[in-house]
Amino acid sequence: MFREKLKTRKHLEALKHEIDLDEHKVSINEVYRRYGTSPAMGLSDERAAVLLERDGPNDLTPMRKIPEIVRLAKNMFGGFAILLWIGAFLCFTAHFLEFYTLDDLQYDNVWIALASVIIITGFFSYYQQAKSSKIMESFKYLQACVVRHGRSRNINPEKIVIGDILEIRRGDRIPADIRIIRAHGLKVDNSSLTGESEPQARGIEYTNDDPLETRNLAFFGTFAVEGSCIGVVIRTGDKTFIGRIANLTAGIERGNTPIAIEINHFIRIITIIAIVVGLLFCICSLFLGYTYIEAVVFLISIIVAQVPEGLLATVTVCLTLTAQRMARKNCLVKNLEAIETLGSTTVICADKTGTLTQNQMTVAHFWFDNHIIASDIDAFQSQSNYLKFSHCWNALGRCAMLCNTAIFKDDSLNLSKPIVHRQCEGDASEIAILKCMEAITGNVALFRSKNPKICEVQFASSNRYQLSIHSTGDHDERYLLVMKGAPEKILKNCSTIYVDGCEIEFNTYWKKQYEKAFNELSNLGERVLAFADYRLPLNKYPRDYQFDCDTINFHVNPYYENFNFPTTGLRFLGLISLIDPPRVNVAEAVRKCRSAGIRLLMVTGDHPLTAAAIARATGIITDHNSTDVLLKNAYDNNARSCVIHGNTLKTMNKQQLDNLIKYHQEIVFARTSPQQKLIIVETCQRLGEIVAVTGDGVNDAPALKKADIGIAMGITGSDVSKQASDIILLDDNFASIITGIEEGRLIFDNLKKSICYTLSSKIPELAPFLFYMIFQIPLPLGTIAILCIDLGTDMLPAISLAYERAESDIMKRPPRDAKREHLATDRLISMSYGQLGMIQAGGGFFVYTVVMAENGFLPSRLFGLRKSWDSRSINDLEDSYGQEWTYYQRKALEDTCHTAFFVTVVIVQWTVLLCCKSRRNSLFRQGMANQVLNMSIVFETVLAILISYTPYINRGLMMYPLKLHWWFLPLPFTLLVLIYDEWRKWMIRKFPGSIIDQETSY
Amino acid sequence: MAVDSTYMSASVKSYPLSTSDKLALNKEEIIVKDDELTWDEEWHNFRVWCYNSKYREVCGRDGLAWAKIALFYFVWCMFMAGIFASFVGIFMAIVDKRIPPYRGNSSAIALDTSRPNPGLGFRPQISVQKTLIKYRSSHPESSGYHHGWSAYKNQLDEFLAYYTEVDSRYQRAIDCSGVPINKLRPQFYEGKSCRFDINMFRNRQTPCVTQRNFEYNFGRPCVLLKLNKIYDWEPITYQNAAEVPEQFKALWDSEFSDYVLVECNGENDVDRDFIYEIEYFSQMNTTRIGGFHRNFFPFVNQDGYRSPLVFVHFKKIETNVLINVECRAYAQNIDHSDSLEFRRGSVHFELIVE
Repeated sequence: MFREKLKTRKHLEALKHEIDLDEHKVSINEVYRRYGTSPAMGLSDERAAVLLERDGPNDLTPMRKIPEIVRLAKNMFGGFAILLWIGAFLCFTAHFLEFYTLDDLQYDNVWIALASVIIITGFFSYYQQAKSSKIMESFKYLQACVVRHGRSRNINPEKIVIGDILEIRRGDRIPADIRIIRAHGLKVDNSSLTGESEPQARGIEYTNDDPLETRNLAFFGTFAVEGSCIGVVIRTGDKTFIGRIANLTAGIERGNTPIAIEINHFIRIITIIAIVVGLLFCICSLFLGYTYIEAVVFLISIIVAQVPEGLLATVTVCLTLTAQRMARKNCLVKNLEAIETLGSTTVICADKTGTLTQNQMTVAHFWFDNHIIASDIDAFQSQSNYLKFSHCWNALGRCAMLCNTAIFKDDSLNLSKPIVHRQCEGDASEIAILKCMEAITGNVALFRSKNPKICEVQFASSNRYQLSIHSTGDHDERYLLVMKGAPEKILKNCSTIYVDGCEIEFNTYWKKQYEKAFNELSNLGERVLAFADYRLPLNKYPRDYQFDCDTINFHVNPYYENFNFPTTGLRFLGLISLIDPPRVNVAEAVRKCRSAGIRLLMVTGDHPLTAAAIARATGIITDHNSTDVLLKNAYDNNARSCVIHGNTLKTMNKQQLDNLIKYHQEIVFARTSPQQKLIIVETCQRLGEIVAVTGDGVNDAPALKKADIGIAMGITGSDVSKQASDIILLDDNFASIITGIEEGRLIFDNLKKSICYTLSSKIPELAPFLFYMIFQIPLPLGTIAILCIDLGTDMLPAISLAYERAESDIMKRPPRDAKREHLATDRLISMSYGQLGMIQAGGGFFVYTVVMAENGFLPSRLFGLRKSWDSRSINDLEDSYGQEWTYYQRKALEDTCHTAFFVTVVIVQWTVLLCCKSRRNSLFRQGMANQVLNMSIVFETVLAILISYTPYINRGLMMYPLKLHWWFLPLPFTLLVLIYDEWRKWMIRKFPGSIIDQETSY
Repeated sequence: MAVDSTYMSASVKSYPLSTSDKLALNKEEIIVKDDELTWDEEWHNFRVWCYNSKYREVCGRDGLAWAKIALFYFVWCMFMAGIFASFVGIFMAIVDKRIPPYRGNSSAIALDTSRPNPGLGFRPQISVQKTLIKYRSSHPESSGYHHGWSAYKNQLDEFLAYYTEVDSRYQRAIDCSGVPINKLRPQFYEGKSCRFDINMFRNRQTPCVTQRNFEYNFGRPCVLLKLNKIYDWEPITYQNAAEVPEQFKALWDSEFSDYVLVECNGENDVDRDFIYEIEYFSQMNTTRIGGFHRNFFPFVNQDGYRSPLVFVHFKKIETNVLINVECRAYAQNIDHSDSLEFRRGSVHFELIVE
């Protein structure tokens, strides 16, 4: 990382000399003149189109070209491909050696077949990758706001041209190089450009000769982390600053994902097995008296038989399918391999707002007349009579409606929607109150128009209240002052309280009552607002009195209150408490998470009380102790749950942090800063956890990047967080993460099954060569037939396992230990090779024996026959019945045997596929609901029939039509696979830990 | 978008390395850590995996575990072998040992030609890999690079001895001379076969007898030809001069209609130029052409069946050059193909006489 930064820096120095940029030096009007634009009107559409035509889209192009080829080459030469290339090369050499020694040419075209296989699979997986990255690209979450024809509109950032006026808000990615016209507290994150992690302030001043340092420029690809600005575009696309250094930044490599590590591990195992077995038999064959050429041919055959050529394509297809399925469930996967990472997640650091909760403040309770009333509609209806006649309620309602600046967006479409879904403008809690009052009283806007506002003091974090003065429509000449704010602030300003229609002194008793209600509500984690009003006496404040509120509105001195009207001695009306309620299905998702062995840490910037309340409601904390007790649990290693305040976290050292996360099962981090979020993620990773982090804000980006898997919010998330994440939740719903985890675990399981299936045909492919070599029988299965299995009939069934639904325990077992639990274990290989493969090979040899015998060569005749059989010089080889066969007649018989062996493998693979459907469950429990899998069985059979019977195609693949009854010979072995595997799984379930379980459960 | 992949790839996920992993290098433990392992650590892991002295493990298993898995696979292999053996055993018990289950057009022997099409065999053939007859006429024994001819002679003697073998089965051979095939055919299916009288070569004072060393020592080698046996296959011989191929028309004789004709020639024009004269010695009365008598067919796997033979006597050929010879059998139901790769109804061998 550091070196990268240095490198980038160095190149930047070099680049600076080449950049001819003076837009930051000249006056802003000069810039407008130069690009024919104006800040108010922007460009015209016609001119923009012309410029777009001239400069091309605002995108970095040159980087695409080279990686495409590199990616293709990676598919062509990476993994197994290189092994196959070696095989093809050896074949090629062997072919020519054979050709020049004028001996029999039986491996003549295998190298062509091999080469085409590599190229086809290479292109296939390249195409798959390209397709999956297209899915990612199709999701255009980036939009840019430009001014054209005097109107601002959102357009695709690619369409931006030089001279456009851009509006940039907090969290946006800056879509082009701009000169800033106007800025409000703008800070940009230049880390992608310069490596500086500190956000840089930007404004309209020209401060430095260096374009990177001057304040009035912002660059393409950087992020506005704070504030907003308006700027004029001065460079687009490849001409931008980052466009010039793109080739430098692209070089930063990314760590391997767990699934990539697994696949590399798997490739390594298979390669070692193939080469070791190949060399072993190559050497053995030399000792057995074979020629060098024959030995090399054996080596090639064994390598070809051992390498699962179609497997990498299968893996890619499986991942793509899962990504598509997840996208349908609102989980957009940016990086395919991240799916599996999600499955092995052990800790989720979840944001509260928006993810666990609805991110929509809602009125929860009222307190007036010394009663707490829940705000749901049912409660209101049951008490409607009481409410109608309660003066106190009317006063509180009036105050809540008037002392509120939130409004519904004024268009008929919006207003015709149900209240909950209407769009509003204003502060979240004000909107909540507005919606609540609209639901109760019916028409807030009408009420407000009857009670026009004379003046107002807006809410500010410094004074923590807001007030407004109205002339009321109830024939009372006096002005009405209404006030809303933090309870302790309002309390100070009140001298009376309105109870049951009487205005009484706000004495200690009532203060105690208030205290009680306030504590009760805030312990529920709710935000409490207090309301008060005051009739201004007519003699002092007659009609047309000029109220002066401006002193405070401009924040010149927030603590200086100097109004020409009183703000004390008010009448206390009551409390309204608000909460951001948890999403409906979150509790269920949390429960699932827990049973899946995943720890859920809540990390939020909220108050501990609120955080704890939501945590309780969703089941993140199951401890019933009060929040105060939980807060003290931080250093108590025996406690199960705890709530940590950000300030406490600040004082903890590394060891304490480790203990905190190691010993507490349920943790809520409240009042946490983004830096602390990063610390939490790092601590988890230090403890060997695989961490998923959710986040939406600009400040979450570091934690999202740091996490093993970053999850961003699709609706509320900022561009930065989306860029930094691996997965985007399109509906911002926490429950979608659980779906993702399930899919991630499923894909790992299914890949295992798929590999088990694919590898099981390796023994029936390898054994013929061994028998051919050792027992000198005519070859039972040829190289072309092997390729037919690997790349033909086995492909679709292996892929179809990706559609297999989860076994019952998928979300009830702990996450995978990424360092010890591998995709291909020795048990999987032993099971697949040693057991399933053995049965297949047994079936294959049986059918081979029958085909040979029925045509004249009884088993006793076959042993030791190889040399004469393969010799072109022998034109009269006698069989067991005295018949004499010419070379071509024998070879036709041999090819028939290959076909029969091939068909046998296909037929035995039927039940192998069924057995691979589940790892523990009986097939009868797992069911046959996977239609893709059922179809794939039909497909592979039809393919085998086509290969065997279609004229020309069968000759091209060195196959012959089979007699009908040969198709039935493998059936006993097909059945045997099923019986054996059911027995094995029964043993595993019945006797866990027995030798069967130890040696065969993968 | 193109840009995204470029500058957001900065999200490198690095893992902290715990100190316990470093310590593990010195112990007999497999190192597991989050980073990529170094070559040293890989080697260490491999070494520990191969033999772990701490736990007395080889390849990650101790003695007991190895015994267990060995037992498991022993039982399993026995089980599979038992299943396989019983299946093959059952099949062998029911399969006919005298009549091939597939005969004629349904046999694999007929796959490429749609009907059985016998090839020819030749003797002497001393190597499985070679069809070359190469020897020095002046040397009976091999010396250095030079092959003598005695090996060839011995093989022919051996082969012919088979025809004079007197055993109980041979008694089932009958004398078929002059008997029409329709009368013979039922007898064949009873296990009888026609006797091929090897003495006729001697009686006629042919050069192709062992006493004259098959004339190998004179540079005029005799090569023996036989037609491949195919169960139930019967030749349809040419009945008149109009049916025979062009080159036999002039030779046509009425006895031809009882024979599968044989003719040898150089494979290419060059080879033909090197062959000056060939004689054929068979049951036929002529030496201009060879023939297998049709009374020897069909072959139905009789004990004591002996294939009819034809001696080809290369009476005058060029010496010290390689001559490619192709012999073809002619009958109405024997097909030939002229491709060098894919020969039918014929045999190919090479001659070098030094």
